[in-house]
Amino acid sequence: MKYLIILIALIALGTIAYFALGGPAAEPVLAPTQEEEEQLPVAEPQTLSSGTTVTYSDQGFSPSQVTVSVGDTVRFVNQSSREMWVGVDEHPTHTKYDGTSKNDHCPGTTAFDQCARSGPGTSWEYTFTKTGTFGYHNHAGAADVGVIVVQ
Amino acid sequence: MRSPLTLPVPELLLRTGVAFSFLYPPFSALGDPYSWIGYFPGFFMSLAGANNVLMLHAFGIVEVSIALWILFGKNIFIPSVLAGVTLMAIVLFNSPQFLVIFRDVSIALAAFALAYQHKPQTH
Repeated sequence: MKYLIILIALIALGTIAYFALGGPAAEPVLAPTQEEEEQLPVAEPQTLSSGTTVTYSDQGFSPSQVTVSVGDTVRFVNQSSREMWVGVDEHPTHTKYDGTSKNDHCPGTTAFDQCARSGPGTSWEYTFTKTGTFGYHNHAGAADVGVIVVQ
Repeated sequence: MRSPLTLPVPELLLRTGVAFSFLYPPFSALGDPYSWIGYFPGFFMSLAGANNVLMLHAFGIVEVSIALWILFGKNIFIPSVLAGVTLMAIVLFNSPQFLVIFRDVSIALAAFALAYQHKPQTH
């Protein structure tokens, strides 16, 4: 019985470690070529001349990682059936952008934090003003995550 | 129902530790529900729709029930297993947030220790 419990615990920890350290293969960074951009359907979100669009669906954020320049605006479009609240990591404090927590910087526009829920069909934009790699998540569904690299 | 103060100190500490992890979230959720709603799996959120806060508080009642059962119950095998499974499920469904929720693994194992201590006797 004791060995069985130890075995179950090890399997559980191994499973957790798999998801936590590696997990399923990350979605590749999308850098659409001119040809790919032209093939995009009109209704689909696409890279805009004024910024980058990240789509939030029931499967999560797509692309899961984007690279932008300082001063670029990223638009997050909620095409899911759920609510979206984009917030920089970690959940739930959102301190990894400028050191302030959600309770300090919300409501506001300084931190990479939507500071509010938005329903399906809505969008939210944020302009990045400093370089860095910023992990983010949906505050209303913390398993859905993404990364913005600002160069 | 038994007074927790009659328990041996190690078991009292174990029960209190596990129960606390189920008592804090539902009360914290009264003031900041979306910090806790975020841990529900996506399909739960889709099912709940606009009633997601209601679902959170309903789950809070379950959490308080488990906590009180563990704290005051005589035979606590069932609530301890429920506690352990719930915590492991939270970890598995929120693996991208493992940096924050890794402690849930420890609490889950403490809950399983309580369950083992109170496993039904076979004669």
